[in-house]
Amino acid sequence: MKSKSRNEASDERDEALGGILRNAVEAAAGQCLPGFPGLSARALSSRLEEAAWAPGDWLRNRYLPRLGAAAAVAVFIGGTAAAGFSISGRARIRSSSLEVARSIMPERSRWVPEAMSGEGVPAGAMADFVEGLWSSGNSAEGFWPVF
Amino acid sequence: VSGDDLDDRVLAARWSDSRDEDAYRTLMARHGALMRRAAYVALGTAARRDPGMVDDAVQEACLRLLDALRSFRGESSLATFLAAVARRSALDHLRRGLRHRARLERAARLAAVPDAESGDPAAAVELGAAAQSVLALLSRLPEPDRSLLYLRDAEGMKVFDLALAFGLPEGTIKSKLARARARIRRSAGGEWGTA
Repeated sequence: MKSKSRNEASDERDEALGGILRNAVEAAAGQCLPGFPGLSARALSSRLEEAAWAPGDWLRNRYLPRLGAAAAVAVFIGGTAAAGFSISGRARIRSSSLEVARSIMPERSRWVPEAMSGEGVPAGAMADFVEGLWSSGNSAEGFWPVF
Repeated sequence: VSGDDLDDRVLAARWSDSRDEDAYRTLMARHGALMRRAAYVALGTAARRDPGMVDDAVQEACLRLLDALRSFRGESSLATFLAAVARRSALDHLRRGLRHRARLERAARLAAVPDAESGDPAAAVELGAAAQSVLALLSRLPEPDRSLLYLRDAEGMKVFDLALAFGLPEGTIKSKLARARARIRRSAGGEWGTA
């Protein structure tokens, strides 16, 4: 704790430069996410539960702590069977997981809806990319931060 | 107590423990703009050429956070954690280079448009010449210096938190910050003076 206070005290910050950068980036990156589609909390909760913890999902063993997110990926992967993915088991993923994924993501999302809608043919690097989202070690810097 | 009034840590715990989607939405509404900015800075010139990449990166970060929030242990601010996830998503996005058909088509269209830095009039009017030049300077910094400088000086994140987020010693963070500040000031020709 002591060292944290010392560090905070010595934290230099160039607020003038920061203000300029902040304004420029804010203008360029856009102010905010456009919000989320309105699904009732109750409906979403039940769908999440159904999608994420359905008994027998093949994902249960592979991605046990990540089922909520992985279910959405599995739906996508199931749809890419034409690209060579095995769909045994994956086809059992409930379609509700797709609704969950769609409902909880920003409206301006693009590639997941594109991929999931079947428009275009997700394969190769795209398919690897989606699968890799939840596979540790896919980034040169490791997985997401843990702190 | 409504979700809007709750502390970030409480909201994160609600999502992780009970999949409280209101908590997740509140967090995204509260920090979504920060995540966009962090992703934008990490993408550098790529974001300027194709702003859609920012959306893609933020979306990826949102997907990751459905689960990644479980790994947030509260040792730093949640804002730093979210910015770090957004940044990493952006960098992963760049590295893997999606080859989706729509992306290729969009890239082809963009390739025909001059980069804003090189004087595209529409982009310059939209964003402003001053902002353009600032972004150009920022884009010239390498990662992670670019993100560190932005998150520290523009977003006010603590060096302690950044050290956790980037997995670097605090001393290294400080030296990188000093170097990045000096470099961007040098590039700007001392235009901004001293803080």
